[in-house]
Amino acid sequence: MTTAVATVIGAIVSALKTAPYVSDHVLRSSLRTLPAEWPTAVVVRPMGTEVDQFAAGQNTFGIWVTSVAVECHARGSTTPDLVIDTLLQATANRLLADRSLGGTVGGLDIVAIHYDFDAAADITACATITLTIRHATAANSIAAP
Amino acid sequence: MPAAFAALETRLNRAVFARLSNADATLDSEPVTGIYNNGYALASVGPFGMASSAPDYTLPSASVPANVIGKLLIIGEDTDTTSEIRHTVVASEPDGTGLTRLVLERA
Repeated sequence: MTTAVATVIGAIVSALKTAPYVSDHVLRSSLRTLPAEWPTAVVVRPMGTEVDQFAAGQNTFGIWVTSVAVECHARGSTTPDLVIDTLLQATANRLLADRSLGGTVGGLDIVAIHYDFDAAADITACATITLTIRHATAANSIAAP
Repeated sequence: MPAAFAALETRLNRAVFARLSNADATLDSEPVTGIYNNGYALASVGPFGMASSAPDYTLPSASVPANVIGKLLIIGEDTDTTSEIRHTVVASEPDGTGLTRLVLERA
């Protein structure tokens, strides 16, 4: 049995990996430095989850709000914020194209975007999209319904 | 007559480039010889970073043209590397003793 959070993360990764890919490298909760050979990558990781509505009774489902970080990484040689802009726009478009993630969740919203920049042999940039997602859990459980 | 230590610095710099230069290059279309490094660097973006490298080129300050920032430095084919590598100079760091380190970015 999979938790509802893991199901949500899987649905987001699947959406981003649907052809045409937003990036050749869409990773789930990667804990490694991204290789120099990759021009772009997207990493999806859970940030946390909280109850939105308590279950009304013993055997009714709960409603939770889960926060998810979607990190868009890119490198290039143009103006730093433009290095990441194409991937960021493509990722946001993909996420907002189906805000139910194929019927898996009740709703998905982009609530923040934070930027990081650095320079070495190339300009590197990361735009982290913060999503809040409302979804159900099974009765008396944190499992996916 | 230059001070004794200044003369020694000049001789030392000449010896350094004669023995340790590893890359002929063209800087703003002029041939130069110097020491090219391009080791691993971690770009600090996101929680775990992106791998990159930190190219630089050290050469005699006398070989550095005025207003060098933004100029093209091309590491040629007759070096340890097998193909031409094109860089843009993004910073110039003269050490005050006759050497200058150029910080590079992939062009």
